[in-house]
Amino acid sequence: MLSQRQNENKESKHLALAQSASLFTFIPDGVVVLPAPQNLSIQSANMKHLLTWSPVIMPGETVFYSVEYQGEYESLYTSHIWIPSSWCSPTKGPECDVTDDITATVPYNLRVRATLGSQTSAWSTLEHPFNRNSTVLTPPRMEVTKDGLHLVIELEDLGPHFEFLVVYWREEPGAKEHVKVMTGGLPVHLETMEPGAMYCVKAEALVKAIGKHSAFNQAECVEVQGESLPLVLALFAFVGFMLILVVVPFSFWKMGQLLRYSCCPTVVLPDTLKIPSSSQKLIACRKEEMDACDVAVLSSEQFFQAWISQKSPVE
Amino acid sequence: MVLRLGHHFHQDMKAQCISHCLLGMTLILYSVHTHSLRRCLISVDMRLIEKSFHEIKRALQNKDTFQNVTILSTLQSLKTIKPIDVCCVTKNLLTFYKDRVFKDHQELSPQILRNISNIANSFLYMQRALQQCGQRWCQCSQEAINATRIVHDNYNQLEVRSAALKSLGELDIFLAWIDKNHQETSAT
Repeated sequence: MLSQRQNENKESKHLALAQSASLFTFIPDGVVVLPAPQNLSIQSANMKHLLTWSPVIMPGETVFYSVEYQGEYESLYTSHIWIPSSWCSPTKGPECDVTDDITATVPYNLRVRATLGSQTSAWSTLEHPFNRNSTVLTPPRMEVTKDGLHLVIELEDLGPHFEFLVVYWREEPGAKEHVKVMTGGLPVHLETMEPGAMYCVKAEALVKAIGKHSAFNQAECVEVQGESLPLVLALFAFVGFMLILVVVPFSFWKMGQLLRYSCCPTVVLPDTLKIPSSSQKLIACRKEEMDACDVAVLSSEQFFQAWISQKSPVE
Repeated sequence: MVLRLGHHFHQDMKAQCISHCLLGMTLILYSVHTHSLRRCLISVDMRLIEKSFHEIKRALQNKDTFQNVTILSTLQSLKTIKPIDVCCVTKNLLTFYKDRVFKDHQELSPQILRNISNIANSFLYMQRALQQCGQRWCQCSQEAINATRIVHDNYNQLEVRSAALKSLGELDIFLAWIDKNHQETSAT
């Protein structure tokens, strides 16, 4: 394997020499040498490093690429040793995630070459060595929720290098800020909130391996409603109101009835007890039964007695 | 006579005071020294380096033919390295690995090469961190120099390839020692 590597190195050196004359070198029988990939660049955000290059276009053919890297140690002590990338030897796309290769905070050299069948291009090396401490750290995404009275936070999982500094406080004048350091990916309980208060949370990402931190993200606030007291009160008020609506008219009506009976009763005299307006009329009606009828003015007692005695046979 | 006695007494008091002050100063400096050292390598994630080593440990230790010899004997001896020597010994051992062990070891397997590269480059970073951090405090005492020399002597006793292989296999001893002496205890 070592001899194969030495041969490859010799081969690449020859190819590099040939290529230094022009980009396309023609060997006597007219075969085109595969060009090396151009415009190598590396983008890094949140400790994820992506190496990209311009693809080598060969019409009708699928070109593969091999990526190799060399840490500062190798470039200083064993400069001939290049290590094949974990995921990109070979790879199809004109890009390679070299996150798993860049494992120390030192400058790394990176190089790419194209392969097509048995042909391989020259190595194209990244112009400036890449150090992972140049990665851009973005404010972390977080989800702040309330589980009953519990203030819970969940931060995005950005990998093993990341820790998060969480700052939370109660939104009131003179409130103290609390600080907690945690890892992402799992929900974490921050505090048990008091009802009726607003709590705010913000966080920043920390990467100890490179001694850098991101900016704080936008603070998020949650509020806890006051206890269930207003709800119970409202319920009671509603029930009471309904009761009043029903009971009060009913009692009024009952009272009204009672008053009517006690104050102003309506008395209806039965027919049998009704006395006609003149005594003449009474006597006149008795005229039909009796032949002789003395017209006499009777006193009221006499009149009444006469009337009773006349009435009884009728009954 | 009385005046002279008084003068002597004054001088005694002064001497006592000065010696107390000096003692206090050295104690403070000593504690600051050890405390600052503990923070020097705080940015190094030892777990990832240990993980790298763990992946290749079996492959390395299986090839080791000299089971009875330990190269990093000074780190394992009962006479532990004094806190004041920790910085110097760490620096020297990092140099030992960087300049001798990794160079002398010929690795063919890409997987093992990858892991060794990770450890080697991490050691490079650690050396720089120590240099930047402990420049004023990292003085080498004779004891520290002796401790390092023993390691080199052990290495020289074996054939180069075997010595390099064995030293690589003993990285867990070195990493554990660094952990113990340099990292702040943190609840994980």
